[in-house]
Amino acid sequence: MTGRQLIDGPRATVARARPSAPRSGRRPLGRTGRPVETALLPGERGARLFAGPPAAAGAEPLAEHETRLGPLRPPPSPSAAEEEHCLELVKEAGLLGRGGGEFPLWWKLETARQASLSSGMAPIVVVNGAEGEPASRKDRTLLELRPHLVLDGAAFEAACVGASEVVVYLEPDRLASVAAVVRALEERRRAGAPDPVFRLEDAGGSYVSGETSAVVSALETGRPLPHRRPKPAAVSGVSGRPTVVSNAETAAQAALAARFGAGWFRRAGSESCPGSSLVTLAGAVAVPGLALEIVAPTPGAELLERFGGLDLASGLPKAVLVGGYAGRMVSGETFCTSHVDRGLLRQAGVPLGCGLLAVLPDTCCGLAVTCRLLTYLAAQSAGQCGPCVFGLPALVDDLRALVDGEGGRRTLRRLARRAVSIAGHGACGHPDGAVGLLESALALFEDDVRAHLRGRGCDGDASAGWLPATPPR
Amino acid sequence: MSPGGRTSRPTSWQLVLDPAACDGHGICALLFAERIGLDEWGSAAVRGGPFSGRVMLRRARRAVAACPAAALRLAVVPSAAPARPTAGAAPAGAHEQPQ
Repeated sequence: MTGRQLIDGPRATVARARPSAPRSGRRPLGRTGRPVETALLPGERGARLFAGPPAAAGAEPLAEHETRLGPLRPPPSPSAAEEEHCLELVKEAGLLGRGGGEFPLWWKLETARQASLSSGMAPIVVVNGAEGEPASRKDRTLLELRPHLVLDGAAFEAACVGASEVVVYLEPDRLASVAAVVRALEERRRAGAPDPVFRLEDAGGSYVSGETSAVVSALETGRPLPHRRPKPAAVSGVSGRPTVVSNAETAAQAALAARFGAGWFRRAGSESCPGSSLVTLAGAVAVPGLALEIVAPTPGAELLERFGGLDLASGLPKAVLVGGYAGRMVSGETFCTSHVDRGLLRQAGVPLGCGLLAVLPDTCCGLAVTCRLLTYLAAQSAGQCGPCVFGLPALVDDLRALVDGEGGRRTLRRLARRAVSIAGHGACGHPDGAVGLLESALALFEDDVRAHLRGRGCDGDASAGWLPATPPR
Repeated sequence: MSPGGRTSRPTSWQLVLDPAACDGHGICALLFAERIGLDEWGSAAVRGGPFSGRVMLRRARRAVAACPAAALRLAVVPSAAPARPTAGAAPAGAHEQPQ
């Protein structure tokens, strides 16, 4: 039995229900000559992860899910050849992690499989649904609407590495997504799906709890603390077992690649990051927290007008924060003229990260918003490393002084010097992310900085209403 | 293995710091200033690249042994770094471990 035969449904059904995806690159044209939509809401034609019923219908039941896509049934006792076939498929698909690190999934799977073969320890698969980014909604939206796709992906990953245990790592307070997953697991159990053993685990409710080493630590000790480990989790993770930690969206993408093949998978996205991507539109937009699926590079302006409800003719937003609170600030103009796509954005030095696109309105002070986000990031430190515990609050103090009009060029220079001394010196990437945000903001909001240096204070921070800066729970 | 090179090839070493364990005692920076500095708040930071030679190795060993928090480790620099992937499609500059 080959990996392709893992799909044991009526092929015709699969082919008919196969979500169509435009080829990457330029804006594709449909059969009628009209451009095909490349940014899609749940239930819209052309979507991949979001294909199926619209958001209002809630979680897609198992029966509907399997009629639409055909069942994905990992064999009860996969052989080595099948595992290799599945791994080859993931490698060909070129699926990169969607949690922020954009790390290739095949490497994690391959490494975990090899490590398990050589050490004899049972591997474990973790679906990471922690989504600690306060403004991000894409993972929980996916879990709420398409829980079976995520669970399929986890089962497929487990089949790739020969794991019989899968952990779904969730925030227990997000009742809608937890309920969807629990109900989905119950449906699968009743349907008698030959799944691995699924287990729900508490993600611990902090900004850093989704970081891979923090996930491992949460599963070992109950506390999500990032660690600098001598070996990657795929080699030695939870209690020394090879551990594959992948984002919920990554798992769902793997489930689609497993069904429709690498060739189909690569037709969405771009060459350097194949496959569609989920993003969250947040900040000063019509519906903050709207999750969208991007199937091909889409102009930023189109996203803001069609889904953000912004009238760009009457003025551009001041900036867009790309990639999460530890992401990069991009000017409104640059964002509107560039294409939103994981691969293209990474090449431009603005990684899409967790998929957050947060709009800063023209009326706000970029420095004040940055100060607020940086304060949040400093407070969300796990409290382990000096550069994070002492460094980030020091950055916040300096930035606060600038915002209040009390800092001068000296403060600015010290800020830059401290930023350099902090980056790269923590056990995880948390301080680096905060420093990246600060540096991109100082470069972009030069005018705001200059105004503040002249001693003019700020007319208040307008971001409180539209960018949440509270812990995930 | 013999320390500091009775092996046929010259071995180079590097210090590995666990920043989560470092409590900022600062002893290491006194003992091995060539490779360890302290930041503004007293946390150790490894600087400079791999090193070799008996004198350097002795200082490094002393620094490792003196750390009350056991935050330092001495590691042999592998002659060829193990292959880390970029991606299935090999896009340049794929990130290291996800954050």
